[in-house]
Amino acid sequence: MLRLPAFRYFSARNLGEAVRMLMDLGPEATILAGGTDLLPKMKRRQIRCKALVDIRLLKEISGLRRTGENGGEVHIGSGVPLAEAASHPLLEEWDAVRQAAAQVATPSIRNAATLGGNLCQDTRCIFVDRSEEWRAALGFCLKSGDGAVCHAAPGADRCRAVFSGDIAPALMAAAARVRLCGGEGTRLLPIEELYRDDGRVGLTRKHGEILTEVLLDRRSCRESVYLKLRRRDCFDFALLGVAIGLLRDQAGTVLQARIALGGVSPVPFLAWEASRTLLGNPLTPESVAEAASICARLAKPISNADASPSYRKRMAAVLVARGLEELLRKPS
Amino acid sequence: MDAFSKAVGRALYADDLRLPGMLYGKILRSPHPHARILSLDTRQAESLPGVRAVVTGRGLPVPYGILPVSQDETALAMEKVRYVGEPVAAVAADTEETAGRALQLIRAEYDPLPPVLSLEEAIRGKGEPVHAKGNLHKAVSLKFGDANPPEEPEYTREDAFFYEGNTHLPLEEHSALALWKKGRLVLYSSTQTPFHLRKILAKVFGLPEDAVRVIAPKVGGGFGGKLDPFAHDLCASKLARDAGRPVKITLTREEVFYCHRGRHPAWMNIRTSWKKTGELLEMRFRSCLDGGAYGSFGVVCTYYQGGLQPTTYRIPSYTVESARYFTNKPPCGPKRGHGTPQPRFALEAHLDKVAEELGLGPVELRLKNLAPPDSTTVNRLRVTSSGLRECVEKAAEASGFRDKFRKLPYGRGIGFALGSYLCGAAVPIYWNEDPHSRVRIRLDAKGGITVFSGATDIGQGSDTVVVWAVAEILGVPPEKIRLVAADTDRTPFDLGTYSSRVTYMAGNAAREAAENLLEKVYRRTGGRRMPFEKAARIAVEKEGALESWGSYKPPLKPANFKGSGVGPSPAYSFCACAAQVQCDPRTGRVRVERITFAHDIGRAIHRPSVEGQIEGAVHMALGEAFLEEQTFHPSGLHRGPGILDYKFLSSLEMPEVKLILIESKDPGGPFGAKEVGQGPLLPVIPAVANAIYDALGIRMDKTPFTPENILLALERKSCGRIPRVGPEGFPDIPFPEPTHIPASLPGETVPC
Repeated sequence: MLRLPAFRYFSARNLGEAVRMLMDLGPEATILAGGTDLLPKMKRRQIRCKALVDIRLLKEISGLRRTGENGGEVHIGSGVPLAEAASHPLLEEWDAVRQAAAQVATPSIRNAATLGGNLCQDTRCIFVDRSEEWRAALGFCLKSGDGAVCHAAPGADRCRAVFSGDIAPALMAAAARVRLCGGEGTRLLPIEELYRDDGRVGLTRKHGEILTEVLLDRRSCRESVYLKLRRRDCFDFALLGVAIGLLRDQAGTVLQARIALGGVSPVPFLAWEASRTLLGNPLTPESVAEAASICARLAKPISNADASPSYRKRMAAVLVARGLEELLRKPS
Repeated sequence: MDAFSKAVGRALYADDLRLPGMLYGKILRSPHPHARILSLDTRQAESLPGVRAVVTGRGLPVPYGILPVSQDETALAMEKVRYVGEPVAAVAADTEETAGRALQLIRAEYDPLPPVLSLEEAIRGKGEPVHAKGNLHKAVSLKFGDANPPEEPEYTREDAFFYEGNTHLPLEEHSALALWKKGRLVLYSSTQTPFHLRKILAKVFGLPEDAVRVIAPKVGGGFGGKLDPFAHDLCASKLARDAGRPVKITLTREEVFYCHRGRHPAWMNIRTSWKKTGELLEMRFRSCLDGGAYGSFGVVCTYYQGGLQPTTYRIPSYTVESARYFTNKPPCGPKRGHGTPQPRFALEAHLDKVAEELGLGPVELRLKNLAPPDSTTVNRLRVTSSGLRECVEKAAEASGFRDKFRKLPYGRGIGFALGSYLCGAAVPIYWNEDPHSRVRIRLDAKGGITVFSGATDIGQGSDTVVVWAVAEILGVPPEKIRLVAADTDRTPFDLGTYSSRVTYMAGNAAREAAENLLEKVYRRTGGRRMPFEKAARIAVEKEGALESWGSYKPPLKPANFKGSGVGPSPAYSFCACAAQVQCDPRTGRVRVERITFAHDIGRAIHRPSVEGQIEGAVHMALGEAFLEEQTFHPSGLHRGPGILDYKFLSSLEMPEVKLILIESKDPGGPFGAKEVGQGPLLPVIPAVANAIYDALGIRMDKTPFTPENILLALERKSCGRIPRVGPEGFPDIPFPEPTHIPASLPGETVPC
């Protein structure tokens, strides 16, 4: 088996200490939570860090709680394991989040992997997630090592490694916000602002900042669904993730709609153009079809995952339509 | 036998073993698919503190190979590298980390050559060939039976198929631990064939075989992938000798993909002629194999392309042309079913098309043409017991095939296919007259029974079979029997675990050894009735222990033509499979709802093991059908040499398997038993392809049946084109004139 390189290990007892450790150790230190994304990448020498700051003991990032008027807000600690998120009673009404969490990897990985880790997972590429020998044989690329080429899209001037996390699109559809705590204080930002369109470093999180919790608000989303495209029903990362969140009135009129796509670009993104077509009317087969075809147009996958880009693009329409049809079948 | 120790992690595999002073070995591998080695400078690596030995090709120059006709490998590449991942040097160091650092210090200079990465490129033969003699490794051309079909054909059909290459994916990565004791080499290795490995080690190190001891500890799956001798076996041995300390090399998962020896990609073409009423008159089968960089079992595989079609169907006039080409990829070799799953897929999918055009049911067409029991096939194979007809009837009935076929709603379908496999190759890899298996039993003074068997349990349960065979004869509970297995010093000779031979051959040897022991005990106790333990005490009174031997040698000689050694077996297993699928025409995804499987096991010695083998074969077959592919980037790099990227079937895609065991009681098998390790893989893949046609009206003539290809075929269907995905025709290959082997050879006695 592949072995981990040598590293220094620090276990933080509280949030403040964790932030201080990260700041003191500098950019060569990385946060360790579930480790399911980080450790394999360290074994493959994709991520070179000299120190790991373990945040698993932090009380500030554990558990779920309800706040707000009538308990309409749910706070999910970033340290919550995905298995817990997938079945927690406080998330009963957040179908997309639960469905996304339940479809990550395998049961044993979901027991270790955390919500925050899933949101902050590294972008992926079939030319990058390989051993060092394999990457060296092909030649290093924009993301792996010091190369200047992109093997997935020769001619590209920037890395298009794909963000394949399942939870992020689900949270985007639910209009969630995330809290980051760092040396300069706390930031609360819409989940989509956590990401940036760069396959090399896809997060706006600064060094020393820790994603501590996710906030969900019932007022922005009442119904949601998450659908995942992959080769098999477990193990595999999303070749495409479709999350849909809706707010409808008694008559079924769509008041708010958010369709998010994951697995088809360096950032998970909200397909506003498609979402807008649904507003102001009840869902109809026509509006569903229109939204679906817009999503297929917006999805621009490249050859960096195991299914062909044309298939993934085509499936964006199918999955969006299926998701909306599923919501249509349910009473609002 | 060992389920509990494996379940709780107590069983010891090669990598679990540690010896005092043991060093860790690592192998440097080629980054090029095809290149001349200009220089290898190991000086820096040698001077790294903690490095105890370094070896390059010059240190292990003796060529070897699993087949006597294919001695074309060396442990480390000599002048040229022929695939990405080919071993070029090895180091042993105090720690794994130091060994890894030492590899990075080896300066290797290459002159890259244009690689040969596909069958088409290999056939075209531009640029430097993979081997000096050219890219064509082997071409076989045989014509069996009547020179012309017995009657004028009324219907003829020709189809082309492609079967993608795939690998074994055993859970345990290969590992070897070598040490030298007073000039003798001892090697613990995750191997399926300790005795063959001993032979190769002796050859390469210039030792008598007696000076080499090979031990297979628990082996975590093989499926054919641990049959060949490997570079890590030889490098660990060499490094251990040079360093004067034990050396262990354990491969990473990625390295296992480079060892490969898995399923050959095969481009096939089949043409058959028929009477309108559905009697098969003639078959021509052509196949072209993408062999990878070295011979391995390739010659055998080439012959197997045409070998087992006749054990299921009567073919009056049969022509086989098959060829194997070298390419710059990891060598292909034997994987569960050896060279027969590809042709079985082609044959059974072809028959489905024939049945449709002749207006016959797929089951009916097959029943009309079944090879009968107690017969000799057109290619001179002796079929003894056969429950094939019963398999077909039972599988059809239990799956409701006749009620469902062409009657299920769009998107759902059912398909049917048959299979057959050897119960051990009748001809050993190295020709000799000795028994293929021997078993020794020792009865000691306290009534203890120890069985010594060279058979290697790689997870399939052969230890259980050997012990249960002895327990059955002696009338003692299996738990009372100790087993010593797969150790060339301590156990009698056994050819090893391949060709589904262990139950039949080692099982027979165990049965005979137990019968001989019983006979001895019986004689010494004067035939009085008493419990076995008491009898045993009396029997061993004199010498303190009593010993008996049993052996097995197949009771037949192959026919007298070149290639006749591939295919003969003392018996054949038979099976029939019905697959029911549900397809999603929007996503192209297929869910297998149910597999109904009837298998002629002869007799089930240990029923849970038999069922486990069939379910395992169905699992592997569905992986090959839908997901698995060992394919390569244009740079020659493996596309996904890891367990996440190489897609195999997960338990969630595993359907319900309805099992029917047919017990035909083979006259030569131990207690009537036949094989179950490989045959059950065969019919599943074509049954699924046929079911997809029933569901969607599209022909998947190429594996794996990916969602993309299903949508592609549906598109072709909707625009009026031929609704299929697969190759066209067959490449132009310089086959020799076929050797004609008529239905009966002059002066030949029917082999028996």
